[in-house]
Amino acid sequence: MIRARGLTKRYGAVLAVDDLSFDVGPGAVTGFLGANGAGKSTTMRMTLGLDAPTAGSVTVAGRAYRDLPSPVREVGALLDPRCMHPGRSARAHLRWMADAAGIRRSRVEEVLELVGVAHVADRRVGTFSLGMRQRVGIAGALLGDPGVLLLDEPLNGLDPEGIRWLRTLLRDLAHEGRTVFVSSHLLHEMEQVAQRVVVIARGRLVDEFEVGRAAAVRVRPADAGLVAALRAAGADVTAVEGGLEVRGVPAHQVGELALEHRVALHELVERRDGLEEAYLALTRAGAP
Amino acid sequence: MIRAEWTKFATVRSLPGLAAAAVTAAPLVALLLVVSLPVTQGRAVTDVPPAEVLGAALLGVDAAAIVAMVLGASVGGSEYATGLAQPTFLVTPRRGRVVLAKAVVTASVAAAVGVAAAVLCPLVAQLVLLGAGAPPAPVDGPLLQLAAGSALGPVCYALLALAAALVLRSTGGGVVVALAVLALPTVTSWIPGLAALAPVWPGAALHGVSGVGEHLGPAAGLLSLVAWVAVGTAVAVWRVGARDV
Repeated sequence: MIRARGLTKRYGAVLAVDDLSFDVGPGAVTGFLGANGAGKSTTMRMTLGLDAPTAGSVTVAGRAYRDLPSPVREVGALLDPRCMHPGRSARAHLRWMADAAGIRRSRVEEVLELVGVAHVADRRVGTFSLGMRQRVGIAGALLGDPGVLLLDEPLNGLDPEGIRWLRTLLRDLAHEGRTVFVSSHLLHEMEQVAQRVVVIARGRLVDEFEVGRAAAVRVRPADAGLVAALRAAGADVTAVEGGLEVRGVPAHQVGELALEHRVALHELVERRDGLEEAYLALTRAGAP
Repeated sequence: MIRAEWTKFATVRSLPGLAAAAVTAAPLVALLLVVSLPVTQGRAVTDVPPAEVLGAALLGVDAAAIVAMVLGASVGGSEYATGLAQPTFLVTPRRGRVVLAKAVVTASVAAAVGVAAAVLCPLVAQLVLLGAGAPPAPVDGPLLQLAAGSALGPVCYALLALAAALVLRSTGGGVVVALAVLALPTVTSWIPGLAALAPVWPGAALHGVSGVGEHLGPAAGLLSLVAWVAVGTAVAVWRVGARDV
């Protein structure tokens, strides 16, 4: 569980994050979307106690990160995978982390296996590709088997096989009841992995919504009695070529209403908005 | 926490390499100083009192102190140069503990370097004396005190360089500050108004502890050293804890 309230960060004249409030709940992958410079990383850094908010607060697992008694066991984080000493091996990098967190060293071998870098664990990180470093970073995030994960652009640098691997991993982690918060600018990837998204632009919250919610239901024929019944049920109905476009009522309810009014349906189709369309519509609407 | 910082120290080549370089540099510089005594003092090694020969050789420990400075500064500065500070402070958000653990590891390594250098440098001098056919210098109280005081030099300057590197987030900055603290006593002694500062510097304190102090005795010297290191480390704890990573 991550909870931000009125979170604000100002760097001189620049307002990087502006009065941002949102919740990220457990049991789902929540995407964090925004253009470059929208304030995603700054928000994550404040959530993780690296940068102090100018105003507002953010808690993770019920407390401010810096007050967590054992942060690595509660929150796993991956920010910038380039932030490792290039002269240290992957295994040694994870070992000092385990030492600092009081985690047994055999756990290092487990996470090295889990992320698929065990075979090169003794090579210096400086010789790794960005994708390999992402995997080492993810291993570090998983070291304490935490209930909350924050990953900033974890797909960067991963090859198609790696992206697929991470997608499955994130879904599995969420299914285990963990809170998984992932920022990305890759909308199609997020659409496949996230159940919910938080969208920000210029440091402000634009919207939070479920991914893949039905945008509209298309119905044929355009029966007048059905239109009246749908409107009575609170739906927004518009006539479109030979049929109806219904918003605000789910498909199964449209079907039930049609049965009640003895209308034989020729078509009943749920049309979903793609995440990309939804995102672009939102951010366009938010533009001055 | 200390174990984690020790793991960091031991798992890159450069830091243990610097420690080894510091231990190697000391006897080499000592040898140079002793062999060049005829040039600098105008008399043969056999004509110089043996205790003075050993005293000259112990200046080799200063070379170890300068390398230890680079080592201390690297322990702090490399966190920022490589971005490692980010995972470091994610794992340990109580940042003061990281600074203190780094200080303990740096002090331990620098102490080992200091002791090794303070043993090797007089040894080189004794060997040169024996080689020249002169009687070796007696290993007495003043010599032991001089060696012990010299051994503290690398510890003090490594810790000051570490603190400065953490405050400035730069290895180079840490080295420059520590070198300045080492060199300023000489500079200020040329400026009439600032000559009064002479007893304040760590150099004067080290001389005091070594029993050759012009300004301070051993106890006051030790107190001054502790104060320098404590203030430097406290400023590092404060700055590292207060600012954004």
